[in-house]
Amino acid sequence: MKWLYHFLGGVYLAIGLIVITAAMVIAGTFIEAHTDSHRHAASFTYGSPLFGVLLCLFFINILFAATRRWPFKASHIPFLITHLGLLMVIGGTIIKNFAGTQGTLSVVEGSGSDQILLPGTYALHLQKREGDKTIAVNVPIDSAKHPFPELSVKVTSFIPHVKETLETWIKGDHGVISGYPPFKEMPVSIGPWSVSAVSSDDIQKTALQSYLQWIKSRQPKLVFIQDLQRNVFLFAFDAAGRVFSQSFRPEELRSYIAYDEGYGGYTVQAAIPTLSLGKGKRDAMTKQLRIMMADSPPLAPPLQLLDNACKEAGEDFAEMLPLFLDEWGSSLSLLFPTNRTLPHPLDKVMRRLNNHPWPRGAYWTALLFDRLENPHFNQEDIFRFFNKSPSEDNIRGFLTELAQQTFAVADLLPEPPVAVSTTPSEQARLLSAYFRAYDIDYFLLDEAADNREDGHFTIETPITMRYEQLPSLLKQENNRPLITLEAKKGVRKQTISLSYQPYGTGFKWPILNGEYLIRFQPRMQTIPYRLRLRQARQINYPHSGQPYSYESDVIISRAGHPPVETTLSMNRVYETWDGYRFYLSGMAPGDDGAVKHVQIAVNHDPAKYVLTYPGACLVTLGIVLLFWFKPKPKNP
Amino acid sequence: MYWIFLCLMLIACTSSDKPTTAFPWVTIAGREEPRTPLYRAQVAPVLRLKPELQVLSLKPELQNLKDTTIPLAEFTIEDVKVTVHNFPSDRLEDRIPPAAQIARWKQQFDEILPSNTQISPAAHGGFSGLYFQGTGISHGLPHAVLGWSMQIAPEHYQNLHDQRYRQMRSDYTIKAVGPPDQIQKHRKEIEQFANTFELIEEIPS
Repeated sequence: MKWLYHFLGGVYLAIGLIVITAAMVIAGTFIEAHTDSHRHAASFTYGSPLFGVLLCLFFINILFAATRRWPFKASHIPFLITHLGLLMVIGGTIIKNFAGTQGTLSVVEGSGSDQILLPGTYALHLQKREGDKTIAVNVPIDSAKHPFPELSVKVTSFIPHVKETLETWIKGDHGVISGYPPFKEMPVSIGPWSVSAVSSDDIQKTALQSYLQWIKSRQPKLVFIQDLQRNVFLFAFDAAGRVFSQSFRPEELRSYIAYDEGYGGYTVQAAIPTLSLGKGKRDAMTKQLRIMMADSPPLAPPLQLLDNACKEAGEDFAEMLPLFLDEWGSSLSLLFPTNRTLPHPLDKVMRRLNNHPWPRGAYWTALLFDRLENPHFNQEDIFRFFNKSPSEDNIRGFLTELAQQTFAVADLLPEPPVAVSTTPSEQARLLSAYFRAYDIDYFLLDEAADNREDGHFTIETPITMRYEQLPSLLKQENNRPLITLEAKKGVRKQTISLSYQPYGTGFKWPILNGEYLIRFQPRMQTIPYRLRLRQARQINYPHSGQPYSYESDVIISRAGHPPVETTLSMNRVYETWDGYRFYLSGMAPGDDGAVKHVQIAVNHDPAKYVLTYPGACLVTLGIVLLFWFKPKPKNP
Repeated sequence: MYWIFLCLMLIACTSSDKPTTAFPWVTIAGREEPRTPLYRAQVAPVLRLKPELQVLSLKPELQNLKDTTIPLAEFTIEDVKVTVHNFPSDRLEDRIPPAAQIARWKQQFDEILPSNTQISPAAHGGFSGLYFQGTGISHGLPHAVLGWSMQIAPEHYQNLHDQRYRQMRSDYTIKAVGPPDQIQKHRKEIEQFANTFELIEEIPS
């Protein structure tokens, strides 16, 4: 027994412990350099149980080394002080390992929290409602005791690392709209709209192809296009060829709908505008014309011509002008086409135009536009033909200028080589040429209706997650584990897969018909301090977007104590009187116009002021005294 | 000698931990009864040191404030008027976009100098929005505006859906209007006021 006592307090054990500790620390340094993972290295060094045993052995070794000097003499004082200091430092380290706190407090500007997340731990956040109250619990995934006795949750599989992608309108390779069957290339119909989903690495080209297909059918169409990054782009082509588009990027999903605070699931919505078309627009213009015509204003010559014809035919000018423009607009022609059948009242009015002389410019404009509408021409060719750049002007303005120029020189031109028009559609074409010279065309309908949206129809799709198993990373901090668990209440059972949310953010998913919400995240611990984040900011280098520093203004409060307002920054740590240290560890996003989410690292060492720091002082004092009180030379 | 050197080194290594806020808070009540304090903002010390400026004097608040055109509070510095409005809403989509507020402020100028107009993003205290700086002519006189149009972050709005939080989830605007030279002179104080403007109560999460 005596040999054991001397061995435990002896120099050989001390040397052995120092060598093993040094070897472990050297190994840890190499592991961290190789893996870039502090957690991985720590698991082999001071995070390993062996390191705890070494610490205990150090404590015993130093204690026994001191007690071996018993009975103590005055000359032992420096030695004893040094050893007491070492025991206090090691004791403080052991207490910190068991009772200390190291975690991250995640907080959004304006709000506060007293809950920290313990990194590297796995827990389930569960919550349910009881009356008006919400009960939330945080339980380790391997916990045998469950705070909700009626619910049993069993983890059935654990995958160390997955890639998680949020899916919206296209899940896998099928489009999904709530209330409709999944669709792909075989489109489904929502009212008059046909809907399809495609995957493509060239969104622009695919959208253009979809539009060209729309031109053939002229049927309202919704197309969901997914790129390689699983961003989804929605294109809606309405009956008039107007395009509405919206993007849904998983990484920056700006808004979603949480039904019943998440208990009813999550969806994204798209509101497709339905513009005033056809009769809606005509009515809007008719209404405005009636108000205007009440004062009998002077009209431009082509409008006066139409007004006279309307009066002769007994039709209302305020109704006929919008009808004429609408018919012209739906033909998508530069001028009113001669092969179009006119509605009866308009036909009647056009026949009356035969009684009125047409300006020569109208004939020549109609002839010129006949040439421009030749199938060999397209818009670009028209510009090229007239040596103009398409970017220089818009086609509408250019065509008006062309008609005006034609009217200006018409009197210098010979008689137009056409017979006098007699059919109503030919009269309509001449009228449209006349209108064109006065910059009157079917776009007036849009302006009259002020592009007013009659409303919109809404479609939505549930938000789901797609997981892809990946090889585990050496840098453990970057691994995103996935668990599959079975939740059971009575006879009801549900299996769900959940990925790890390291900051305790992200969706809480409903289970068992929305009775509970669940999230896989780190364990949480309540600290005695509440931290409120007032403002966070990224400070950039002058005239640059490069961050120079990050700062957060916080209020730290504790029951029974006055709150403290302070600023945490990269090199400015706040420490409370009882050893809680708060320092800034992360902030997102960096731009000025967004509300910041901040991660604050919280560290608490309960033995720091009681054992570790005084112990270090004693070690220093002991070493000084060891040199000061050198042993006296023995008398010869 | 060594001791003196050691002491000097230790003194040089210490960092001062001065409190960041030594300024008084001004509290502002909400728009609906009971008009308990809802917002607060700090008044810069320079204003306290110069009482001749008639520092941000709070006007009586006895009007019926259901009308959102009436400010919650109005302050003055010389001829500069600083007004605070809030706009309670019941749905996220009912809120007035900050860009629309700023467009309205621009229209209040008879003539605006584009070179002296700046709109930049701003965020603090859980609110985000736009900061407008504009100079021009209004009613025939040179006129400048510093304005903040702020909305609470959507994630906070979700947490404040209960009717008792209606005032807390309101958008707010702070607008300083006055002669350009005085606005320029007091720009720091006004920006200090706006940048520290926040809800008194912590936003529940």
